[in-house]
Amino acid sequence: MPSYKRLLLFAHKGEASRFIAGLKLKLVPGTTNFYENHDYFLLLCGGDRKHLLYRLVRILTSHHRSLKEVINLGICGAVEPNIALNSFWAVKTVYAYEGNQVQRKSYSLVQDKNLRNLNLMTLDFTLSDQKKLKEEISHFADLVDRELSLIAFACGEFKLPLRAYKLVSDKCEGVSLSDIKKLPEKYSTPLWREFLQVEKGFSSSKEEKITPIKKKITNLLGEGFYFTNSQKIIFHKKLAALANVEKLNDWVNLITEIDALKVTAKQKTQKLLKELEIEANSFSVRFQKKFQSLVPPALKEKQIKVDCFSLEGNKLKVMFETTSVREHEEKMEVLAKVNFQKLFDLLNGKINV
Amino acid sequence: MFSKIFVEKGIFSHPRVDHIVNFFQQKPVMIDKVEKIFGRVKKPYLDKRSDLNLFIGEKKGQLLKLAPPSYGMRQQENTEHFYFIHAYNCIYECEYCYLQGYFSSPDLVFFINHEEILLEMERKITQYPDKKLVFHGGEFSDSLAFSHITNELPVYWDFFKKHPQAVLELRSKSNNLKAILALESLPNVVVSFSLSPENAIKRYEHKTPSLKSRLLAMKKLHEKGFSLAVHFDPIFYHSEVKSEYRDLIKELKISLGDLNFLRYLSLGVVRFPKNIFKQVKMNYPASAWLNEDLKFSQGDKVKYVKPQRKWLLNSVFKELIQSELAPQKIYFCMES
Repeated sequence: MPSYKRLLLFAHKGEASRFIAGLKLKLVPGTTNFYENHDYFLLLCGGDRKHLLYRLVRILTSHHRSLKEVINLGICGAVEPNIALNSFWAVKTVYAYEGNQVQRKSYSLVQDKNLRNLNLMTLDFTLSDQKKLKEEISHFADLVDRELSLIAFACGEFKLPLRAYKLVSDKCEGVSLSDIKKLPEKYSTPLWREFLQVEKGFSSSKEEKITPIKKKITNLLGEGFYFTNSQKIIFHKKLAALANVEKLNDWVNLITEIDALKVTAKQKTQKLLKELEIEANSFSVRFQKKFQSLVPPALKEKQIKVDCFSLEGNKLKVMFETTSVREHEEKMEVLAKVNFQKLFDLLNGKINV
Repeated sequence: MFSKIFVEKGIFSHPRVDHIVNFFQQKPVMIDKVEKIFGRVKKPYLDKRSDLNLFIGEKKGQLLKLAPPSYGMRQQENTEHFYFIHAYNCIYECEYCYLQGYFSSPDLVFFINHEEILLEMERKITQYPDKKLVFHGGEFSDSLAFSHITNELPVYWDFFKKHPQAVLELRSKSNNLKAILALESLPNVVVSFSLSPENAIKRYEHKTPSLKSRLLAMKKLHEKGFSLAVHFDPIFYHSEVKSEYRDLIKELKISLGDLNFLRYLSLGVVRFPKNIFKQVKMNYPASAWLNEDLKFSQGDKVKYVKPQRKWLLNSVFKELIQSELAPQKIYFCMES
């Protein structure tokens, strides 16, 4: 079983310095901006947007299979007047302002239930003293930065979950790019402190809790239950989509209860699927069974096949092979006596499957 | 309640805007036009749970839209059916709602130029002098949920009093009767409620009033002489569907005394345009009703196969007939 790591992303080395020391990260041989320990990778992407995307995509290409998630940490500006300097936020949705306009595309991030999650707009320029523009941006987002939408885009391409945490370093009032470059170091310690809190709350909150329960469910199903292939596919599809710890625990209890019943493995599965309201057979499968059960026996005896042309139309398809005129006449005689009404009733929803 | 309230500059002094803004006691942000902000970015639908904005503006463009024949009403003799757009989006969160893929944002938009909508209705009445015209509200937002705040019902009442040949239908899931009960009942105004079995409401219609509250609201309106209608739409297929609708019909009958007090009742089976179905699956991946029975069919629609749809409609239809609702009061939506 491979061990999955988290990838921490920073724009500037200054922001990351406390993390490199605190997590005892070592530079990956042959690189100048990529660090690792047993649980984490850390990448310094740089403040330049092109370099950032290039470096990130290069690392994701080579490491995405061993990544559990990506976490972006860094400083940001606040365009919403009520947001205080040095406050720390999780980001829920990121938008982008590029080429002098707000881009339509947005990216949803993994939300942190222990923090307030805000919207952020990534800008391809530095926002300072542009009151009108600042006001416009504030209609969509509370925070601004230079990189998150690019990171979200890349993570989306690699289907990796992304979290982002931002510390407000300025209010976009007369801050120049060179000022920003000097700022990060000062924020590394508060970022690190907040990160430790976040990880304490987050690691025990979702993913870490869900995976063991799902494994437990799979183990519990062991020999006591018998699934057909289609039942198995449907059950596991449903299980994979379930991300609620309480519901998963309900499943565990239910499976344990049913497993204790003195019935066959098949019956246990049927009861389980019924309790979970999972259709083991789709309507179409049940429809076909019902349809065939309604085909008059006389037709079956003469090897005359009847099928429905399409479920949307009101047409039946009658097929038979013949080797002689006599056989043909016999089959036509049988067909002439058959009442097809029940089959048409089924097609028209007058009979339940 | 709202993260931000945006108001178009040009209508800020409108008394209806004043009423809305005062109600929420939140300083509004002035904007030029709603569409300069609303829908300009793709705001995730489920952000409505934690970050919902309100826009107040004027509806431009087409104020009335001709309802497609498949909506069912135009199949009635000599009837033209239009819907008007008084708002975008809804405070409720029904898992099957097509609004989640219709607009780029779940934010609410209240339009306040109702007089212009009424002018347009007047034009249609003049254009079709020999036809029965039905205008329904609630296509893109609930008709009653905010009606005590948006305050538009009285102007519609004045209009429909003057035009008895036209019918107004207000579609709703709300039990908010504050505004409507302050008005007299009119023979040509119908309040219609979307009803589902209690189980379905609990599981798929988040934040909506319970079945009991909706039925109580209907009872109150009925007692005050209002005309009522019901939409059983969308109906989902599952093993208990027949008995659930039998119970629902029984409760509806108890509330009204006789189902024939209803002006009409529509039946519709769950269906989606393909792009909206994708959004629904993304937002509610674990939802039990999103099962493999829903299939892509011709014309980019996702729906059950015909025998399944027909069986659902026939079954609920039979239950209604057994409860003595006159068959001519029932019509099918999106199904011939």
